Amino acid sequence: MSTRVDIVLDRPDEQASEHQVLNMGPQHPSTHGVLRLVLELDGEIVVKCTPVVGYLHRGMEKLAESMTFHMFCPYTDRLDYLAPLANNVALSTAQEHLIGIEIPPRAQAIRVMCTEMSRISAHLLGLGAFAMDLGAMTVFLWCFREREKIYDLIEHLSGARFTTSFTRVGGVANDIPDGFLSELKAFIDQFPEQVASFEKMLSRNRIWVDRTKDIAVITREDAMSYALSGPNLRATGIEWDLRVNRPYLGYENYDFDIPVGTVGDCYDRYLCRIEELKESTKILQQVIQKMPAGPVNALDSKISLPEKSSVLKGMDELIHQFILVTEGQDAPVGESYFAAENPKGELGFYFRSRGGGYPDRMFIRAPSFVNLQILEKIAPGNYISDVVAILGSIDFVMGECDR
Amino acid sequence: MSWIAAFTEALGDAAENVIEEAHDEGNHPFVRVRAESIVEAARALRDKCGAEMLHQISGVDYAEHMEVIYHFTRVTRDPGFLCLKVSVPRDNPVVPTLAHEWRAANWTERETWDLLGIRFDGHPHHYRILLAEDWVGHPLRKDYEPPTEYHGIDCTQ
Repeated sequence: MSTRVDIVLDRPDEQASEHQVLNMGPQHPSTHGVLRLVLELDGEIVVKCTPVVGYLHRGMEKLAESMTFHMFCPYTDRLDYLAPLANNVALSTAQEHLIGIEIPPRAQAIRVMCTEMSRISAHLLGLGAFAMDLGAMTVFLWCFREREKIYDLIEHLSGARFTTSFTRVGGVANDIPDGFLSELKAFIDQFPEQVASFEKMLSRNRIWVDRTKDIAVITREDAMSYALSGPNLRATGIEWDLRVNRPYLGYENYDFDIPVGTVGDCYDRYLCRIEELKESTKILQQVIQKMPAGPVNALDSKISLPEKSSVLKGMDELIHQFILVTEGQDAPVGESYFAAENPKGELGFYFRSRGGGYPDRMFIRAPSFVNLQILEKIAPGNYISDVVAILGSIDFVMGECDR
Repeated sequence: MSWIAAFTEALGDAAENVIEEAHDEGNHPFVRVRAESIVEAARALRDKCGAEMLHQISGVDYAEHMEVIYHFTRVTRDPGFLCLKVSVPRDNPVVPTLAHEWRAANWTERETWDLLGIRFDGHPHHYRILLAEDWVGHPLRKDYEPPTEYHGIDCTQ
């Protein structure tokens, strides 16, 4: 019988290899979570890399089948747990796509703001951890200092720093609190200077460039074949960003660029993330300028939860609240697929509904899961110490990968 | 011209044998193709309709049959999502693999096998991916019974 390691290495028992097998993870600090890599080494050179995933599988797709649309929202906080707000937004927008409703402009603008704040926070962590793995401790600390400011903002907005569950079908949980926009403005006013300091520390740093340039080059063809998305895809030179190519939430009204790379190596992936930080700042500036007035929830009592204050006084509102909480939104029979451009790539939700408040089937297209496959292609031929750089540059989250 | 019309045209005379159903309305248009012809259909979709990326494979368990869903993305010209479906019988769900055409299909097909128990004929590495190798059953099937015990761990509470 084959043992697990033979299955992983994909070779029969008797056929021993002269290469050394090194197991990296699932509890390795630079695998950023519970990723396990089985590396076959010839001296210090990797000849084969087999990623093993699934250590964090929680069966979210199965759980979703017994939950109303709102009940699943907290689970998305635990998908890409570096950008919970962006996951909330993607889920709710996908549910609205299935149900077939439009949300008011103010809710759209708030959601765009949430997504871009998450993108900044996720890229800061990705960049900080990448830099720390290659020995640049200062950048890590600076990134975390900035992230702390974003978390303060998120706490002010949603009441939670981490598990936000901020969106609802048809809108968001609450309007922007007083003074929030000026706090956000204060943050983005000082942020470009911080990004400049990260660049100053890294972009022309001899050690950084030596460790990342021409390491693990991903060609355009490989990127297509492996269905990469997000900054990893754009670093190969392919201009593909769902915010531009298939706009949702009014992204077509904002002026921003898609940064693309030329070579597709670790350095390009780093540069793409740095540029995306700047582009997200630009979008946030425009959100603050243009923030429309009006309601933050769709004015459809069959879809949106009513105001709490009116639930306590009005009969109709109480009934709607009761029905929506116990039975959920009545989705039409049918199916839909919606994908959002999340910090890690394309996060998609497929829904199949037989009517009623529970989805018959939901699947999550997790960008980290699909992106990780490319390790088997790009890791071989590099030194074992470069594997750390490659993992940092791919920037994945196992919560999302394993679901 | 919608991608479905272009796809039918690209298949030419073979279209009749390949396509079972084309659904061009609503917010999720798709083409249902015969299980044996999925490789041919996917190639035509890539080479003639520009669907360069196979970005997700998954499945749905209907009580009577099972369905494999292939989501493609057209990147370079006329960006969009394209979808193929394949129906397979519930007692012997087998589909030819696309892992030799798109590397992305490798893990997503393994995931579909793992969670739904649909076999992919010719897959180079046909093992479970998210669950443990000795797990019994495929959780996303509607008749799945969760285990009460796993290696001495009580799963009933």
